[in-house]
Amino acid sequence: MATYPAKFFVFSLGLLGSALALRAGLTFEQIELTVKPPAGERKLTAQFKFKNTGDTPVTIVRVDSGCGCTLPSHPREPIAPGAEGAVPVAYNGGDRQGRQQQTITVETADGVTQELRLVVELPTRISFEPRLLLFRGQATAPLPASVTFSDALPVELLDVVVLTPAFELAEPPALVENVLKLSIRYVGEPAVESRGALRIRTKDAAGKTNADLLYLRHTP
Amino acid sequence: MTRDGKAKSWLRRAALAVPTVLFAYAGAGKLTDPAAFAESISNYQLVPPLAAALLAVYLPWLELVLAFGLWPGRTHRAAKALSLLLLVGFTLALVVTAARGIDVRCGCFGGGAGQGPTAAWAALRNIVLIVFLRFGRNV
Amino acid sequence: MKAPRIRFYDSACVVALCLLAAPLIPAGFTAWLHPSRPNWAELNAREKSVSQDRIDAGEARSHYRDALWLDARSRADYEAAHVPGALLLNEDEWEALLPLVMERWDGVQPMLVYCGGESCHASEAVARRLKRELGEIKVLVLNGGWPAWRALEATP
Repeated sequence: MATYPAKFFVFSLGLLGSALALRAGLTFEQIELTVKPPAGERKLTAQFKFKNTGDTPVTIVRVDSGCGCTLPSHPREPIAPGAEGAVPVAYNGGDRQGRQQQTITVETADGVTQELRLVVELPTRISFEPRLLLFRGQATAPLPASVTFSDALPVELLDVVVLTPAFELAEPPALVENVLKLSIRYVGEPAVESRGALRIRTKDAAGKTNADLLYLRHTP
Repeated sequence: MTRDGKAKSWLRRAALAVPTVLFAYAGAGKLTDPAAFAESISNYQLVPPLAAALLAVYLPWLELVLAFGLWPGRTHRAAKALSLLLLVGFTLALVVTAARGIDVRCGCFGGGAGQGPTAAWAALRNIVLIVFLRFGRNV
Repeated sequence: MKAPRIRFYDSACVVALCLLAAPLIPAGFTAWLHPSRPNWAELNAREKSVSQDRIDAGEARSHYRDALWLDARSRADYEAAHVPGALLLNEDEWEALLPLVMERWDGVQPMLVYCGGESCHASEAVARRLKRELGEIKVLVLNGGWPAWRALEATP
């Protein structure tokens, strides 16, 4: 076997090593953080800890995220070799539900960029099956809908009000554990197009009141 | 070998070294964060997310294998052909994506979206690499 | 004189196949063990809902002018500039914005969601949520988002 392959193997390993080593500077303890906020909390701050494992000071010049819901900030002063620090990220989930993932880009003065990922496990406060009820023509039969609330944050039902006279509740709403069962009927003109909504007001264990809408439509 | 021949041989090997180094560096860079590279590939909107992730773990290693394979006598021809194919493929992807109006940062050296040169520069660089590859020899 | 035997592994094709196969092993390890590997479980789930129902800006402008256009970006971005006629619908203020969308939507027109560009996933998230809450309605996502639209509008 020629010596080329052997020489080259060593060379490419060296290349690989130096390519990876070139990126050393700020080494992050974790580039992906998963946070599960307590039920009802939509805002949180995560800290991405890092250490300067290089031998020159490193300055962070820019931190960006792809979403207005994720606001990273960064220390202004250069980080000395061996020093530690953190990139704090303020997250506001808004009305989001379920598992959320956001990417934060950290750029240092030497042009190296590092991507960080923040995974936030938000509860599903409310889910509808379905959220839109479609009535057609002459149909007078009521349509069912069910609304499921997060079992991590139990709610008390305050009221269910149909906001449009063309529709009405066929039965009293029933909240069993965390599932609300509804039955709605169209009582307007069969030949008319109608749009309406139904409002569900609940109060959770933390005392917060929520008003959620379920949409109703009738087409001739 | 004549002095002229020796110089030419040296030149050809140097030419081959250029794509070698670039492939090795690109491959290594992508390996630091496969998830981010998968994101980059998804942004091209050419393959579904699962395929993008599979490519994201496979392509960097292919680049490294090819960079290595360009030199031993037995593998030189095949590695060269595959490297050319890969570069042509990358360039096509860039062109198609630009034509669809999707502004993609190439993700050529690893990292997620927003990293790396614009599509035009990346395509140009690929063409230059193709030329070096055609000209380069391992002897 | 006997011609030299051509060995099986001398064929360039076989070598090429070997070169293509060799990365599979380290790739497998990367997929399984790398601390930054893609999330395979989540991708499997996403495969079903995503990908279909995406269109390019050109097609959107020519065939979907009458769709209900929805802007999935932040309120600040929307107020700075948006596609004429598009409504803001993002997950920051979903509960407050959805009623306005429902008022405008005629019940049959397809919806078209766009956001900040190639690496913005808000439009997909909004599209998925609309389908989940409103049932099997047609919701499309604009490839390239707002920048693709702007680029198209800039050309005659």
